[in-house]
Amino acid sequence: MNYYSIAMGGSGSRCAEALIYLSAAGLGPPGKLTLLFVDPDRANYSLDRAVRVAGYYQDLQAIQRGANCGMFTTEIALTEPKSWTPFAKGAMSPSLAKFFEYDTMRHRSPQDAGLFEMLYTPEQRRAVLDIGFRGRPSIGAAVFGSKIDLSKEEPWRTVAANIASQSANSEVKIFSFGSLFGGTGAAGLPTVPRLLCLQKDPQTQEYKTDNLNPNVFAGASLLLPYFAFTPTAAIGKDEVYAHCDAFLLNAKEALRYYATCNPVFKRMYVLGSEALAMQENFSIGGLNQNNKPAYVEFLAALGARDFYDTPKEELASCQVGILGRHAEKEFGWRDVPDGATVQRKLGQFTRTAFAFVKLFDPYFQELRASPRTWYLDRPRRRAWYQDLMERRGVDPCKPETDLLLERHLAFFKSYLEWLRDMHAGNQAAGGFKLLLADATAFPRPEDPSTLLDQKFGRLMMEQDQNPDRLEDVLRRLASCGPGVYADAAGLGYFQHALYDACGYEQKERTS
Amino acid sequence: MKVSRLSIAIALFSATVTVFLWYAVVFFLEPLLLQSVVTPASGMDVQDWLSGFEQPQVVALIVVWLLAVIWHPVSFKSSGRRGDRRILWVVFLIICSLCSLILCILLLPKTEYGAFWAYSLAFLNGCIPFWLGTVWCTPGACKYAPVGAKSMRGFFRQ
Repeated sequence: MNYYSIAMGGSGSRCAEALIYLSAAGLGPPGKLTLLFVDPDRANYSLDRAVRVAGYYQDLQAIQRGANCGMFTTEIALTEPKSWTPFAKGAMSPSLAKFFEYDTMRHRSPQDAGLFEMLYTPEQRRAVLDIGFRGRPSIGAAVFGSKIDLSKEEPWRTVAANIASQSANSEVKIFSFGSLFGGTGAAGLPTVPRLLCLQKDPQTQEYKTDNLNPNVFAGASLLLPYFAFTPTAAIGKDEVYAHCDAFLLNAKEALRYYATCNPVFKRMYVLGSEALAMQENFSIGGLNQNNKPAYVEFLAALGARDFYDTPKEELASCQVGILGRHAEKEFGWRDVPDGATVQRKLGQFTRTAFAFVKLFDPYFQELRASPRTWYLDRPRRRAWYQDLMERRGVDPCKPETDLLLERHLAFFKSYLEWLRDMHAGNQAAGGFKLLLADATAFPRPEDPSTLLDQKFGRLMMEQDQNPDRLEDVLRRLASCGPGVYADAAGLGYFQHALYDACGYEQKERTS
Repeated sequence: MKVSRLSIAIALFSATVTVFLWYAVVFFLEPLLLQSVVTPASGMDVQDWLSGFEQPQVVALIVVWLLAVIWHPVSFKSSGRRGDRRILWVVFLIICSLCSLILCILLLPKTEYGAFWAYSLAFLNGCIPFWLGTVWCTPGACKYAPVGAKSMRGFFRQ
């Protein structure tokens, strides 16, 4: 089976980032997952970060860890170009007026121009759109509707062709992320997934709006308001931007649309939070719009997991997922769907990331700094290093291994930062408690010395009477024999052993 | 990938067996060599001289066994995070060798010729059984701390 995920706008990109981490922890779909990012704001921080993390993932998924390794199980592919924007690269200050050639339209077709003026205010027509649709889905819908062409433009052409060929043999699942209260997501959700579910007419070889492919199933996480911000004084009076006050109204109207004319979705996961996480930084768009990740995005990614796992027989009719919390001001593992499995797998992955950043990366750095070997020299002599690295022909001083280790470090640090920021971001909303991970254990993942050893065994709030320590992981690694992972190769052997050593199956077996 | 208490039991058993085997070497093979190369001081019977050589070696072997028995639990408990305790292993090896050598120097009966051979064997009687008792089956994170352990264990693994 083939899986697609479309991330629209900043919120969509952050959901996709969460899905990448879930896939790294073995919670992604069991096949190839193609990620497609849609955002007019090329420089959007969330988009940039998600694409970067996906790139790290792609480098790491190539490592041969063996069949039973629970890490990086999903094959993630990115489209080319990695993100799509309706505006041509290098377009000078794109605006709605320029996009629809408003000046020409006024002379050639005054009636159309009149309709255009009725639908959009002068500020909306003039607003520069290379930093997004500024919380105005009406602008984005017009642009998306006229711009996406499945037959000509990349990445749509390749994606549509792949979906067409894959759906001939098996089903294809497309899951979309986007906010209902912003600009890009709200504009793209009703249009983009529906276009990808279309199939060509065999006679005309053209896509028709009512010709849906029966083997393509679409689902979406529709995000209701879950964060807020305070605009800075530097914003101009006539500047068009997303207003928090309008979020609820936008979302309400959008929901009315999905309730009455669902475009194509077989599953909809409608997620929001009544306790809005206040963002520290405000920016209309670009790299400065670095909103903190939120648990709602994490749940949206879990929605994708649920959709991908659902058999096609159960997708015959549209269903809406409903989720609640046990406690008013808290969100913990008992509130997460399939929480026990997610906690166990994410816990194992988090411990792996923690151990790598805290323990193994400094060791590899030490090795690179002093590669020579003699009897009393510490590097190279450790049992785990001998068995899992040197005997497998893996030398961290070689450029290719060095690069992979750097990628591991970057991915794991990004993951820990995401986990930390998710907690920090939600606690900023006036006492709302997120109880998924103990983020105080890794206050600054970029500095390994700040990671707290003593919290290693309870990173994901595990209620374990006898929590693991980093030393236990080292002992298990030192006892790992040479033929345990017969189908692992190179650095993958160490990776598989480390992942297993951080799991509770090992603990139960060795206690 | 099982960290088992069985590994420490095997290690202790093998250390004990190794020391017993070396005890046999000291009592059955070394006298054969020493008889041919050593001349005791005048008036002393060779058998008496050999008994005088063997007694300090027994004490040395007991020290070797004790240190091996200490080494295995220490290495079993070590996670290897701060190192694989090879300095401790070297210190133990030196203690074993010096103990055997010093006891030999202090307690060896007077010898006319060949004392060098006695001292050499005493030195070997200290270090070889300790090395043999640790090189094969040191458990856990310190398994490659004994000199040559990597090659020995790797050779038999293949």
